[in-house]
Amino acid sequence: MNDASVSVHTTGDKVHFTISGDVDLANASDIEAELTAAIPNRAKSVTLDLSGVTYLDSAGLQVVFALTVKLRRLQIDIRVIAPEDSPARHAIDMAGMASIADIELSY
Amino acid sequence: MSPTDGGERPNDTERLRRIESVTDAALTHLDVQDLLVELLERVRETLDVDTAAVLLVDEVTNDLVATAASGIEEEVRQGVRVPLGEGFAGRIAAEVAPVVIEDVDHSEVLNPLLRERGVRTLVGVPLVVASRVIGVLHVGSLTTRRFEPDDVEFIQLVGDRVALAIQARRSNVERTAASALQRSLIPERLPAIPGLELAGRYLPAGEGGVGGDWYDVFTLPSGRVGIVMGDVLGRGLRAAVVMGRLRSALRAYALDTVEPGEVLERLDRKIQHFEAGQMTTVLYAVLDAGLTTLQVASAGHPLPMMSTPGSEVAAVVADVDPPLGVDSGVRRRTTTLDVPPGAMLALFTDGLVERRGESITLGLERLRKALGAGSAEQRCATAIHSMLGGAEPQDDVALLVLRREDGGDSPPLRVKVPAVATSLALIRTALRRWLAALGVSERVGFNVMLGVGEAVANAVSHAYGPSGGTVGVDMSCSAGDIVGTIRDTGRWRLPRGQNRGRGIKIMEKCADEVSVDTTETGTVVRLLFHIAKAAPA
Repeated sequence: MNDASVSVHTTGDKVHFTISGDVDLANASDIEAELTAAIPNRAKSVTLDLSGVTYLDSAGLQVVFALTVKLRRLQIDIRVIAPEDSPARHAIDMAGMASIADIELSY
Repeated sequence: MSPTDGGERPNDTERLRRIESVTDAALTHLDVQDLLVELLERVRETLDVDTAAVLLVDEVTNDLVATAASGIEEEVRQGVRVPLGEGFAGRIAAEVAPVVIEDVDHSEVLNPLLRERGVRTLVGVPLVVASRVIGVLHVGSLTTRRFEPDDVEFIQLVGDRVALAIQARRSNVERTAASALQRSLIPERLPAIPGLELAGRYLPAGEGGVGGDWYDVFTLPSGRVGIVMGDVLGRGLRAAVVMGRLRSALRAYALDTVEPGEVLERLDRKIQHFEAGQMTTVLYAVLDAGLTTLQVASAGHPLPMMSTPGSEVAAVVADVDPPLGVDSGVRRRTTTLDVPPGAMLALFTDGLVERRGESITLGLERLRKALGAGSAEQRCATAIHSMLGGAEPQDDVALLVLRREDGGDSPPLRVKVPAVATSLALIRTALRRWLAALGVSERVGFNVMLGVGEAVANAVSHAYGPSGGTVGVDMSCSAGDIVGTIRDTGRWRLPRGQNRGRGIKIMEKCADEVSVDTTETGTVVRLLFHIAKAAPA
């Protein structure tokens, strides 16, 4: 069983996602669907907080990567929060995505 | 058969014959139900009456229920019930004395069968055990007749015999049921949890029947481990039944709620509503999936003993809230403790440390010393031996010992799972525990988790067609290196889609060495990680 959860907090045109738990091949596409469904067209910026993610594999990274590409095309800002020493940051580093995807990593 | 008109007092020979007819040694070989039927038949013959029946008190409804009959067998088949204190049979039970009605006024008889049969004369005696009425035996005649005091005395003699037989059966049934129930509720085999040694003992009290002690260990879907030690106040079948209900309820709440204090709060609400007045002490603890921290909540239960490598065994320092079932209205607290590799935890019920005429402090001190060294099984055996010796316990005794393995004795990990995406979580749970037992750094842990996870995900995504297959993961650790081997028996197809190849790149980044061998019989991925220094980032 995977116990990942997504919570959404929308203020005006800002959408803040907090993801926690394990994200892998088994639940990545569900999470992707949940994220995209919660972003309204009027959104100007999206924050993806991965601080509470306990495991992130390449399928999960793919979701982050694809969302970044999609939002950039729609001219919506995206910010990914993945603190140093967190499992999500580790996965992003291992995939060399911090530079490739030009993800802004904040704390 | 012609009913005698009575009146004549039976002589001594006749009285002796009567007594012999119902104390015949052959009767002792019958089981209780057959004995009742046989006795009732002999009573009918001896007194030359038409009906004889035994009704027993149903302790729940307080009705008299027809249990055995002769001459009116349908009474039993129809399950005739008479409220205690009403009607003929009810009156006997209420008065605790024989009742004779020579000319039955049918308004007085509630039993429809006796009315239909046209019973004219009735004699009944109470069945008494330890000055408590457990039922009624009555005989009836279709013609009006007189019953002499000797006849009534004879019926009472049979009644006493019936009462004793029933009581013996009841206590035997209750004792057997309670101990069978108890046995079925104590785990026969504790779950196998990699990285954790478990040993448990339950010893029922020597006298007075089993009590309501129980323990339980279960894994939760999140990989956490639930640990329970409880004691339902009271003993016998009732305590065992309540214990069974609480055990299931606690497991159910544990599925929904992580925090032990909250699980106990819910259990408390359940007891107060459904088992009102039942006091129970429970200790509930949850180990996280990595077996590194323990959350504990106690509802009036003795706190566990714990030791960590290099420290003495001591009682855990944690909050203790009131027992369940006493409507304390408190918020139940949870204490979190570190569980380093090699740590030992012992949960027990008071029966283990309490001894008549001895202070509990002495008992606790003896237990503390007995838990000092060895595997969980050795500590459990030593503690039981030193606490009880050869003596039969005066109260129920339960003891559960857990020991987290340390790096030195961490055996290789071997897991085989179906090649489906949901298996990834199972592999991670096993890996987290295995790594926690090794005590490697967080960085190495991340690398192993992600590297092995990607290799398994590759097998899941690429090795098999729709018919599926399995993936095996073997982990071992020696000479400062962790080696992971991930095997499937399928044939990898070329990576497709946007995510192509990223998994393999991640594996190469995480591990210090990677080899992928694809043959006709399947693919073997071998990953090597140095423990001492982290893989290059």
